Amino acid sequence: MAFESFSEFLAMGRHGVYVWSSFGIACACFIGLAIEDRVARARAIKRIQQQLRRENA
Amino acid sequence: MSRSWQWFHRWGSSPYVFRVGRRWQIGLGSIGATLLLIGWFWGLAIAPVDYQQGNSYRIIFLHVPVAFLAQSLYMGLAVAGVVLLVWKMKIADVAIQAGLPVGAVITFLALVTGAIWGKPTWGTYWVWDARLTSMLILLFLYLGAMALRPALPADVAGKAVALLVIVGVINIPIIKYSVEWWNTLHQGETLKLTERPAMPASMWMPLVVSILAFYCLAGYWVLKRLRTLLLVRESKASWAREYVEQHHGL
Amino acid sequence: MSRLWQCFKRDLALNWNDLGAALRPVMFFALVAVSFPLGMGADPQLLRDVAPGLVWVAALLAVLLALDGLFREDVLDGTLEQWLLSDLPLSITVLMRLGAQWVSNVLPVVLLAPLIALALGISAPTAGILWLTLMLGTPTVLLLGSLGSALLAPARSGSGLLGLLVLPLFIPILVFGAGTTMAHASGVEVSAQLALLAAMFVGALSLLPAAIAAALRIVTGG
Repeated sequence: MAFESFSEFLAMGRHGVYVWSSFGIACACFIGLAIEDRVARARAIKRIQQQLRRENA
Repeated sequence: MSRSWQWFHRWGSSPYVFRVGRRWQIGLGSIGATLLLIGWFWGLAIAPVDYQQGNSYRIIFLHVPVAFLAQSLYMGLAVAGVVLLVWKMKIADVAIQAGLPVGAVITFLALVTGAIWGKPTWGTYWVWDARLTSMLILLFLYLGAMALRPALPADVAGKAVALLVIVGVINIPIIKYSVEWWNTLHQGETLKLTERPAMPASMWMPLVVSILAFYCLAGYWVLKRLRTLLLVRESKASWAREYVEQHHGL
Repeated sequence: MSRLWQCFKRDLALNWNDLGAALRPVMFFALVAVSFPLGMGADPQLLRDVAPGLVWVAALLAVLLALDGLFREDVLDGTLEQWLLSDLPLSITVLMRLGAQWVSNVLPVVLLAPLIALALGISAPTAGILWLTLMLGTPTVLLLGSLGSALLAPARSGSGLLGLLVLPLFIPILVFGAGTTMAHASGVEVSAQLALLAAMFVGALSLLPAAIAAALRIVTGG
């Protein structure tokens, strides 16, 4: 372990804000990609469902 | 020889890619996420602190993977472009459409993390050095290719974007070389990230793990978006309707 | 050979007919180049230092103007079909068209540039080098940009999309064109860089017309 305690780990020796903002932005991007895909897929499925319903009616 | 061609052409069929792609997607996603957790925990908590840069160097476990990935992804998309133009496999067009936004996000991440890393290391968020400037131009190449599709009629847009991406990839080494020469004109800071003495294994091992993780995750993201796009683009196809009926009901 | 010359002359004549359109790039160039001293203050040293890059960027924007909507009319009015049907290879026809475009739309910019440079305080020999970099570089830029124009032929012109597509491709030529001029201004020997610009032009000339022809075929569904 490179750090003595968890608070040291968070502080990253004064550089915490830089390190954690970078990793935070990365995680935000990952979440963003996941959400965008989920929304697009739900929309596509809904569209196909409407098509099927219309034809079966 | 014919067996491998068969395999190659099977990937040209949308329902095949949708079905089999799911397994690959899950596989790449799980492996990627696992490797990322290992690599980042190792790099953030276990790897020793750097003498020169302190703890800010740990951004390397994010910045270097995304920087490599940004360029590799663009080259991969150019290969897809060649597949589209030469073998006329439509799935390559879907792959490009799926991959460009992922590449743009990755390039943006590379730029942002590079800038954030620059502040504690060199005192400034942005420097006009060869590496960062080339990465910025790469972002514009991604955005340009993304902007072209909606401007053209749908039946020609795919091939046009493919051509643009191929031309872009040929340009990347030329752009790199010219920006490096441009940088030597101003004998300012030559900030080479790799100028430091060779990295000890305790640092480059988590780095390699992180790089592998990101490549797997990139495959996962592109495949995921590609499968979604197949549902969007081929909403009237029978395979798509069957899939929705079976898995999501009416 | 005489048929190529005829094509070229015809395109030149067409451009000459619409003289206003042909002179728009050079007027735009002059306006942009003049805006900078007005915007930055007339400090002679500052102007002299930034002049090579400034003139080059203004020239690039002017070429962009000359490229906007370049093939759109040819696609719309059926000229492109005629080109495809003719026995001249499309890449050659395109080359003639671009040559005429360069002579009528870009050459005035290149000729005006040294005067603007002198007005910004560049020394006469360096202005000469600047002129040379533009003579070698703008044809390459035109070729690269026409690829974008070809891809955007079915799209509306004036949307600014062309700039987004091709300005990244222009960067190597910009870097070497302006950089060579600046290097010369500080006394460096620049024959190698000029040779590199010439090599870029030769490379573009041999590879791009075919790519532009391919792009035109793609966007017209050919």
